[in-house]
Amino acid sequence: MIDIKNIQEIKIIVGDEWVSAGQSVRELHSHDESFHTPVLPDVVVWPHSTEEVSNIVKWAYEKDIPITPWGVGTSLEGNPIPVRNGISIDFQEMNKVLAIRQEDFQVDVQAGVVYKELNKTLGHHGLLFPPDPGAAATIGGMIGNNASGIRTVKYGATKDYVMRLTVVLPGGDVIHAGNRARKSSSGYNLCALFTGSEGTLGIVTEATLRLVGLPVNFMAVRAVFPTVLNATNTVFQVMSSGLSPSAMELLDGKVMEVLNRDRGYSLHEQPTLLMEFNGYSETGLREEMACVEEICQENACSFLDKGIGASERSRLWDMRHLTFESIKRSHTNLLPLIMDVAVPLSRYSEIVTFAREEVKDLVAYVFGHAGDGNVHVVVMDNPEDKGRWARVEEANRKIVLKALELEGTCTGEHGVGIGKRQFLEIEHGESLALMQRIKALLDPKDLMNPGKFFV
Amino acid sequence: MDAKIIDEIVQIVGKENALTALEHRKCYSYDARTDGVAPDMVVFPSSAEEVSQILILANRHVFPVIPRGQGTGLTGGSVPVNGGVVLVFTRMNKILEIDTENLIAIVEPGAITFEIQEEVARYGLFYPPDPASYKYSSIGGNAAECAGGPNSLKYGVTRDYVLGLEVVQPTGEIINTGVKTMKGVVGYDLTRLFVGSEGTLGVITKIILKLIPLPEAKATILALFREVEEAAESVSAIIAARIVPSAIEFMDKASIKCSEQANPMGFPEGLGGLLLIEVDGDNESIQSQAKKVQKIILEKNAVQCTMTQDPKEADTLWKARRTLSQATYNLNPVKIAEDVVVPRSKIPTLIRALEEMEKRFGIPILSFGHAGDGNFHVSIMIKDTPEDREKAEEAVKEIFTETIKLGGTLSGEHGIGLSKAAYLGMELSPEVMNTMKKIKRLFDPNNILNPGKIFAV
Repeated sequence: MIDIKNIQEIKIIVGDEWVSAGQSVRELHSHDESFHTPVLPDVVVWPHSTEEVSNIVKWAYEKDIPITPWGVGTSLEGNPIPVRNGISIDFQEMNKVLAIRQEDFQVDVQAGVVYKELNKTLGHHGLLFPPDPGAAATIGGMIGNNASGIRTVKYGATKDYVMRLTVVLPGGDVIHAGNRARKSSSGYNLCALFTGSEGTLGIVTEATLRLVGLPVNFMAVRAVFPTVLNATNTVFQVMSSGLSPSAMELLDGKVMEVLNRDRGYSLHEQPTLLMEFNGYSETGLREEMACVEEICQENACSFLDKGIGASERSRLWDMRHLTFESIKRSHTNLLPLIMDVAVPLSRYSEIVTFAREEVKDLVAYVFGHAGDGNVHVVVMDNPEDKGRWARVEEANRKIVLKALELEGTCTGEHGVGIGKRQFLEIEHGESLALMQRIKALLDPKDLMNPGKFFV
Repeated sequence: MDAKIIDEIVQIVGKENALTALEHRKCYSYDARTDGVAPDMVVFPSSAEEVSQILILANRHVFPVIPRGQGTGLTGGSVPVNGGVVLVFTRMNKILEIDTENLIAIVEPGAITFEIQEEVARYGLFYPPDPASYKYSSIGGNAAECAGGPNSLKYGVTRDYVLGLEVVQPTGEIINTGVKTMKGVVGYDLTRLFVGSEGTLGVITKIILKLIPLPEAKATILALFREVEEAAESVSAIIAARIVPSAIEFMDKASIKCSEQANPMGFPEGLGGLLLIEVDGDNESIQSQAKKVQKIILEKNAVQCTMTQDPKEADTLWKARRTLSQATYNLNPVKIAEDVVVPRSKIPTLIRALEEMEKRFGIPILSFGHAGDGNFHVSIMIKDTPEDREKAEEAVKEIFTETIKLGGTLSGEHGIGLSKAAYLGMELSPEVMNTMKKIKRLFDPNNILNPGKIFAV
C-alpha cells in the first residue's frame, strides 16, 4: 500500500501536478472496456519522459510496489487493470510524434500517441501506419497487445511494424531494442519479445514504426449471402485466388439487424461480407472487382453493392466501424464478453457455425476479420447475475476449446490479459513453462503488470 | 570427448549416420567463408527424438552441439569452435505438408529452400525469401540466421514467413511455438525469439511456413547511372511513387568495374551506379508499374535503361549482379565481407564514405546489394598479408562506426555468428547485451548450444 510519504517521493520524480490519488482518477484507471472486475490503483502518475518512467520504475521496484502501464483503456481482456493495486502509469502526456522520416517510411513516437491521431498527421506526408484496432488505442497499448484489425489481412499486425523500442526494464534500466534498418539479424530479436508482452516484461516508452505509402485507389464490395457457409466459402475462395483484399469482414444477420435499428440503415439482415481492395491503378481494381463478383455469384450471393473511390468505400464501409458501438448502445444495461478466436482459414466455416450454435440462447453477435480466420463473438449479459454469466463463460470456453481443436488460437488480437490466462496451458503446453521462466528472469519480483498472462 | 559418450551417440543415430574419422570431421569445420576447428563427431539425426536424446547427453556431459544445414552461411554460424557434435540436418529434409487451403507448408529444417519454392509453386504458391544461396541453403539455416535476399524489399525476410516452430531445448524437451493461424497474440512471441538466434537457444526440428499466392508476372529493368546519388534518388522516387518493386539491387562504381572486367556486358565507361529493378504482380499492373519506373529512372538522368518481361533476357540483365560475388576474387584473393544496413535516405552518405575509404586505405572496397532495403554487402578485397589484414580491420571498424552513426545495423541477413561477434557491442548497448546474455543463460545454462556465436568469448 502506498502512503503519503510515498506520494511525496513520486511527486519529486514527476512534479506535483502529475501525481494523483484522487478517487475519481483511480476509478478511471481501474477498468478497461471489458467486464473484468475493476481494481483501483493506489496512485496514478503522468510521466513526461522515458527518464521519468525509469525513475518511477526504479523507485517502485525497490519498494516492491506493482506497476501497470496505461494507454487509454480500450483493451478487452482486462490487460491494464492494476489487479494488485500499486502505480498506474498513464502515458497521456507522452503523446508526441518525435520525428517523421518520410524517405525512410518511418516515424518515431512516444507510447501515448493515439494511432488515429498519428495517421491523421502521417496522411499529410502520404504515409500510413496500417494496424487499426478500431478503438482510440495508443501506440503503447497496441505494442503491448500486438494489436491488429481490419487491415491486417493485407498488412499484418503491430509486430510487423515495430522496428525499434525504448523499453524501461523492471528495476529501471532503459534499453533500445532493434534499430532503424529495414532488416537486421544481429542478436536476439528483443523487439519481438517485448511486443505483445502486455507490459509484463518492461514498459515501452518510445517506438520507431515502419510505415507504408497511403494507398492511391480503393474498391469496396458489400455482398449478402443466404447462409454463413456461403459467405465463408467466398472468403476462402477470394483469399486463395491471388487477390489481396485490404479488408475482408464478415457480419452475421443479427449484426445487420442492430445496425438497421440503431443507425436507421436499411440493410439486408443476412450474413454479409464487406471487402476492400486498394491498389495502384483503377484498371487493376476493376479487374479484381470482376473476379470478386464472379466468386460471390458462384456462392449464391443474393445482393451485391460495389464502388470505386474513397467516398464509395466510406458509403459501403462506415457501418463496420459502428458495429461494436451500436451493439453496446442497444443493450445499455448489459456488459459485453468478447471472444476473439482465430483458426486456419479452411476451418473458418466450422468455427463460425459452431459459435453461432453455441450462443443461440444468448444475446450474441458474430462478426470478424474473416480473411484472417479471426472471429469475434460479442455476448451481452449481466456479470452480476452469476447463473447467467456462468452460461456466458461456458459458451466462451467451449468456443475457445473448439478453436484450439481446429488448430487455432484462443486470442487473435486482444491479448491474454486476465480473461485468456486459463487457456494458455492448453494452447502452449511445454512452451508455457519457458514463458514463465522468461518472466521470472526479467521481472524476478513479479511487479510489472502482475496478474496477467499467467494464472 | 569421451569415447563412451561417442558410442552412446552412435547408438542413438545408428552407425551409418555418425562420422568420427578426422578427414570426415574436417569437412564440417567451415562454412562458405569461415574456418573453425574440426568437431569431435558429426551426426545425421532423423528425428526430433534423436536430437532430444543427444541434447540430454550434451547437457549432462557438457559438450557443444552445433546445428548445421548446408553450411552456406557467411558468418560462421554453423562452424564449431571448441569441438563437440555437429548435427547435420540433411536427412531431416522432408516437406511434410503443403496445405493449399490455409497457405501453409510444414517442413523439416534440412529441406532446401529452392526445393520448397519449386514444390509450392506447383500449387500456385510462393515462399518469397531468397538468400543468394537459396538453391543450396537449408530452410533451417535460413530460419536460424533470419535470412533475407533481394525479394525482402517487397516480401520481407524469413522471420515474416515462420508461423511456428518445433524446437528441442537443452533439457531434451521438445516444444512447439507459434500458431497455424494468420494471427495470434497468446503469450510471448517465442517463435520470433528463436528465428535469428543462430542455434544458440534451441535446435529447430520443424518449421511451419506461411505461403502467399505466386505472382502472375514479372518485369526486369536495368538502369545505369553516372553518379551514385542519381541511383539513390531513383530508389527513393520509385518508392515514393507507391511502387513496391520485388527487388532493387545496386552495384557501386567499383563493383561495376570489377564485373565488367570479368564478364563484359558492354557498359559505357565512367558509371557511378547500377540498379536492377524487378516488379511483379498481375499481367496488367506489370506494364504500368514498369513504365512508371522507367520514367522515373530517365528523369533521374540514367544513361541507359533496359526493360524486359522475357525470363531469358532478364537472366542476361541479372548477369552482372549474379556473377559479381565470384568476380571480386579477380581483384585479390581474400574477401572480408560485411552486410550492413542503413535507412534508405542514408544510402548516398554511406556509399560516398565507402568510396572515400577505398581511396584512403588503397584497397578495393566494393559495395552492392539490396538498395531498396538499404542493405549493402561490402566486400573488402585484400592480399593475404599482415599489412592488408590490418588495413581491412581498420576499414571494417570505420564502416561499422559509420553505419551505427547513420542509424543502421551490422547485419541485415547474414547473422552475427563468429565473424561479427567481436563487433556486436558497437551496435548494442551493455544493457541490451546483458539482457540477451541473460536470455541465453536461461535457455542454455551450460552453454552447450552453438557456443561462441553471437557473444564474443
